[in-house]
Amino acid sequence: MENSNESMNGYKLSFHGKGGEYFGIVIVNWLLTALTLGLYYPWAKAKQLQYLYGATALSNDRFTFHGTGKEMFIGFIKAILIFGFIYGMFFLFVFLEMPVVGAVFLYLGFLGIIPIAIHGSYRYRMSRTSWRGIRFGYRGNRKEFIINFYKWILLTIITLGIYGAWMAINLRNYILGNIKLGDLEFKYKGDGWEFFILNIKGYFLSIITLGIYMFWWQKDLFAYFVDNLTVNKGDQQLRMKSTATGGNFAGLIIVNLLILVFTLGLGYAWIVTRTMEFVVNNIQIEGDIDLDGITQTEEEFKDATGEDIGDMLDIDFII
Amino acid sequence: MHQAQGFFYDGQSSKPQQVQISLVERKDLIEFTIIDGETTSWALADLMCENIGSVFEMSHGAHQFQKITTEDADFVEAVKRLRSQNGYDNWYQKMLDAGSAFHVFLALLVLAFSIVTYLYVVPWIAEKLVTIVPDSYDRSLGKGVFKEYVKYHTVDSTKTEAIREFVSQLELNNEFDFKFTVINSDQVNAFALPDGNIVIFSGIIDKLENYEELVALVGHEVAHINNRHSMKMMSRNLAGYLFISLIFSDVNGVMAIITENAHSLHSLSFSRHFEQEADTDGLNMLITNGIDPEGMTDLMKRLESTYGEMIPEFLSSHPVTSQRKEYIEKMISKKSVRIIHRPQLEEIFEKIKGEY
Repeated sequence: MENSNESMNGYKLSFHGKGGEYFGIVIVNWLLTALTLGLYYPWAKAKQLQYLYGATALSNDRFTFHGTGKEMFIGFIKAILIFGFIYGMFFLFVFLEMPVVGAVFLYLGFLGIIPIAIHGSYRYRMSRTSWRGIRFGYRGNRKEFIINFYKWILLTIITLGIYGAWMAINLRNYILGNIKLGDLEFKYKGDGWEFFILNIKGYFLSIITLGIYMFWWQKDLFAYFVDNLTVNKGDQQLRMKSTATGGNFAGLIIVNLLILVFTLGLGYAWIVTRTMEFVVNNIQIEGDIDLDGITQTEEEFKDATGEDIGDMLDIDFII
Repeated sequence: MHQAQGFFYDGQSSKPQQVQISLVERKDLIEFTIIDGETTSWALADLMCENIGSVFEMSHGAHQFQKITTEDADFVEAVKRLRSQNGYDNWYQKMLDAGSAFHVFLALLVLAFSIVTYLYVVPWIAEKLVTIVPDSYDRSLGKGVFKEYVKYHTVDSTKTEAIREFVSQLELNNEFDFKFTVINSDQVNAFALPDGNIVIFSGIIDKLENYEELVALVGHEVAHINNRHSMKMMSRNLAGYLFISLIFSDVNGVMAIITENAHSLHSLSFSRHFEQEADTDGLNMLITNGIDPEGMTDLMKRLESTYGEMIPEFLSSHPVTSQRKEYIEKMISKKSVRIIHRPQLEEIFEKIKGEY
């Protein structure tokens, strides 16, 4: 009986961040990053993540980001060395008048570090995130992930990009399926075909409606992400459901654009907090897991190299 | 002693444990007792404190996986006061707490500082850097471009030879070995590469009416090379671009795009500045060679008749032609000039025009 009660009103995601507060962080970070010629970047990023995670709550308890600027700075330096090496080799080959070898080296180098960066950034970011003192964790196997990644990339290239939809879903299934919160396990159940059809439909309808359908396409993409995500503990489960409509998305995106344009970009902080609030308020959770009964299982992990390589390659964190 | 109710999370389970927390001011720590009766104390100096909405969080341990939360305002106030008295607040938090007006002021400060640095400091450093780059770099760069360029264009070898003869009669104050080439093309234009290669299109030669104008054209292009304008331009553009991406790209995409576009517009003003410098130096070259400086004004007239005033100045790499004419005339009026008639140049000029 208690469980059914819980499922009715126990789980609520909420966002408590304010644009004005976040603006302060962005500006102070901007000043420090400019004064240090960019070296402050890792600390700036840690502060921003700490704020955004801390402003997000499940059942009124905040998430915490424990990553520190120092950890990320070490990762940042390693990432710079890796990039320096790849570019250095490229220029060496160009200098030796072997530009083709250089270009091949450059592309293979980048292709080589992408899966390592994705894997590393999830391991780091998850192990540094907690809720009620319970750590998240990413349990993917690096070797398995890299092999899969290349297999999917190859198929995508061979099919001239069509397999891209399957690849995106395979990545989500693998990565999200390996995320834990203590003894809770995340699971994503996406299907390449459905995702492919959803995108084809979105693409053509957007063209036909001169772009207006894009908001509804966006709604479908968001719903496909949220609705297929579950959290499991034995036979207990939490299910998520998107409540956002295409109209909601239109409102969010159009206002965001207006803010961005009319503040010449300075209003960026408000866009982030508005978007976070929108996302969080549009995820409904139902199920029967007792949130007081989660136990710590994950170990600490401190290497932030993957996180920083991901940043430099501009890989978005959530796939 | 301040006391409050709160919840303790032990870092092992997500279960909130209700606790009574006490702030022991003289020992600088907080104490709480969990259900099994054990009393724990945390030193204030070791705590990470955060206020999110109405909840105050104090986390503890190497990576803060243990924490206590409370909503008791008086208690929170007391903890904060004590921490601040003892200097546990970090400067970052102080800057954040300074309020929105301060943040807006900071934003404007960074913006103003960036603009001033960008307009005055960056170009200055960039030009200084060029002096460190050895001439050999200019040479190999220009050579490469020239090699590629002539691959796709036809060289008029008769005119090329004639123009080289023409130039050999002039005192050019050269620091590089100039190598002139005439390319068959309708374009009314010419350009100089940093290694001393100068390409003149047959289109502009057709427009010229006297040899003084050709000397003016040569003088202008030669000045670009002697002043290493290409390298300065590259260096300024690159330095400006690096500076802008450093300051703005981490903030957000829109600011990056706006500033990058502003940068390309601004770099056109460098270009206009260099054009004016080349006009001035070219004019001086005419005068040292005893050639009528009106040749420069005439050259501008030919360009004006071809291009007119097509684009507004701020979008153009060159100053508006009428303005060029104006400042050239002003300079001429200030100089005492001794003109020598050069029949030999005139003869070669006719040859170049192909009217012999």
